[in-house]
Amino acid sequence: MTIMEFFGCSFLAFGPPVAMFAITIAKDPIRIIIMIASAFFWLVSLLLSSILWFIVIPLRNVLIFGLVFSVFFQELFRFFFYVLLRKAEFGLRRVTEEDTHINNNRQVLAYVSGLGFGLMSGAFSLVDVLADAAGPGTMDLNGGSEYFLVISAATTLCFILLHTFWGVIYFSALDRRVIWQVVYVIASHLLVSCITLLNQYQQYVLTLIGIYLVLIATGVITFKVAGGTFNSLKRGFMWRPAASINVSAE
Amino acid sequence: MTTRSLCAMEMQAFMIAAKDSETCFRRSNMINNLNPMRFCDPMGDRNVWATLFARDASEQEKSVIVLAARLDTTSMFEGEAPGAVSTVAGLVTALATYSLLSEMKTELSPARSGGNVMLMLFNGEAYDYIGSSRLVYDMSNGMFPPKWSNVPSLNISKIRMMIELNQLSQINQSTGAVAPMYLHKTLDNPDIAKFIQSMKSQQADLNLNLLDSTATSIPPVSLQSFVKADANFPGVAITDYDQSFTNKFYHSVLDDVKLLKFKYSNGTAPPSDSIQAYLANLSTALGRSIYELIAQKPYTGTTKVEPTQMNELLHCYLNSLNCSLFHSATNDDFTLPEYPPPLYVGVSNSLNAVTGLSGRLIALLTGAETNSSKEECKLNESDVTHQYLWMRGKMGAGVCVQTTMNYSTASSPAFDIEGYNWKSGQYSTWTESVWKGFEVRIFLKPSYGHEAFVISFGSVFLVFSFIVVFFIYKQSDIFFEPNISNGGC
Repeated sequence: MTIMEFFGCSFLAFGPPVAMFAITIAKDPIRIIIMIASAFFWLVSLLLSSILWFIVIPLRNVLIFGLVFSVFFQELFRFFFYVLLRKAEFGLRRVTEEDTHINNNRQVLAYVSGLGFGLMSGAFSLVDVLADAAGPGTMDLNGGSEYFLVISAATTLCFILLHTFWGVIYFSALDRRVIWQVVYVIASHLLVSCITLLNQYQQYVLTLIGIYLVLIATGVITFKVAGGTFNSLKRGFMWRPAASINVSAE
Repeated sequence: MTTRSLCAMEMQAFMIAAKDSETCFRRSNMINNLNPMRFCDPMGDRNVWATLFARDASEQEKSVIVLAARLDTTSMFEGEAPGAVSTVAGLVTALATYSLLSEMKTELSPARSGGNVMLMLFNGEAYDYIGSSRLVYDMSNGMFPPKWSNVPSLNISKIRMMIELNQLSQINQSTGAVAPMYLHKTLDNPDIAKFIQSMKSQQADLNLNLLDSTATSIPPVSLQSFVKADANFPGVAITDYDQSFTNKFYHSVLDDVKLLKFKYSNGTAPPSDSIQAYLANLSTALGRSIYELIAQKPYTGTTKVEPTQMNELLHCYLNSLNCSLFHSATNDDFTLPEYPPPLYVGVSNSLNAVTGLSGRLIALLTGAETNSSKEECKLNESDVTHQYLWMRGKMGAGVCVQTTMNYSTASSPAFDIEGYNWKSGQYSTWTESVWKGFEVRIFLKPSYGHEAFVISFGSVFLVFSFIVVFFIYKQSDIFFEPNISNGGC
């Protein structure tokens, strides 16, 4: 697939997450630590999913079995991370900077943890494929699509963003005891993973449209959970000359 | 963007080497290297030689006539070095002449008074005279033949004359006339004059056209190595050119049967204007002149080299190794392939098939058949001047042949001399790089349009995502109002 495809697809899949990291996370050491810790939790969930898949020998070729249990493990570890964060909150509050609301702080950490989950999940999805992509050849010989790499990259991007959104919704839902949102996260994760099973039948366009629709829906819910409204959206896009200076008095 | 994938092929043919022969040879032989690696191998093979009569201590000065030709050629293509005009023509003429002399042995033996004929086939001449320079070096150190054989060593002073057969062909033939052959001599002396005169006297009978070369020095032939060692070395080279080559495809893959105009004549006798007849006549003239030189009287018999024998010899070296002569000269241990022998000399630790086959051919044509069985057919400690070879023989039933034929190393002294000055150019220093395996793989690769689309889309998307994230971040206060129901601090 050559170097050009390698870079093009890396930019496509990891562009937004890297932008998010660089602009919102990199400047704060606590956020970096939370992100790495959450990535580690995702890794452990992957380990358990692999062990389960490995143990159940007869079902190794049945994708859906491994897939469903992997989703459950990931959500379980998201829960564990939530518990960990709440327990550590007191200590974290002492070391964070004072210029953010506590609520915002909670949501920011939820966002950071979601992004950590997403980045590690994306890395495992795509890095293996990208490594082969740098060689001189391309997929095609056995009838596969020649857009395999691009489609993989797009799917990976979708999942990274979805994990980020799910993190925000999930933590906020557990804080405020809104059960339907918790169920939504688990259900939509299952839904998206099962949609990708359609890739076995070369229905690439269908899968991509499906997962991106779920992404948009999840994005809307996240926006609302994070405190946005239609009005705030409108106001954000309006050009405002810097007449009023916001002074934070907290 | 929707153009299809392209077929691509990637070949790896890596050859290990280093700067030049001196450097790569030194690096290959570094003993204190934890990771020994061969960079290059010296080129070479073996020379083939034989003597008409077994040599002994009674050999006099200036008694040996050397009949020489080269065994090798080169070309730019691996495994394709036919060398029809540059090598094979001279080689088969030398073989046929030597075979004729062997048939004349009964008449020659009482009259020879110590004289002898040595057939010498030099290998590696295409690469700065590897074989002939090595022979001269060995002779000057008393190492030819090797000391362990109780044969007295040959040195240059014992050579009465060297007759070399170089490029021979009918390329220069003008219609109706016989193609000319040129005689190049190293110096004027009575022996050489006698030889040339003897050759020319046979021109009419044998339909030859022999001319003296008008060049002022000898051409690039193996004689050069001998003249380098001894400026008064007596030698004659017989070629088809005078002052410059007539062979436009010298050392080329196109120096093949078509250039030599050789057509194998299966069953019938070759036509009288064919190259077989031409070279047969030359061999006959040569054999008789050498006879006259040794016996000091002209040859009065009727034995000659027949064009049919030339036909078979040329067929073996130019068309197929699986020919009747090589078949008779070998035994069941050999499998003879159908293609002609490539005559590239190669590296000295890998011996060429054509060298061994030529040696066996000499044994077949000129050796003495013995009654030994196959198990007894090996080197006899009491008779180290002869080799014993088991072969199918002319009858095909298997016979043990006794022959004076032997081999000598044809690898440049430069690699054996301690502290040799590589810049001196005294000996050949040709080496060949070591191959590191050869791989080819075929695969599909994306079209250029596809690649360009992906990289540009990806880059644009990257920049776009940075802009969007930055925008959201900057406006985050406005986008994400603090949620009152979340509670305070």
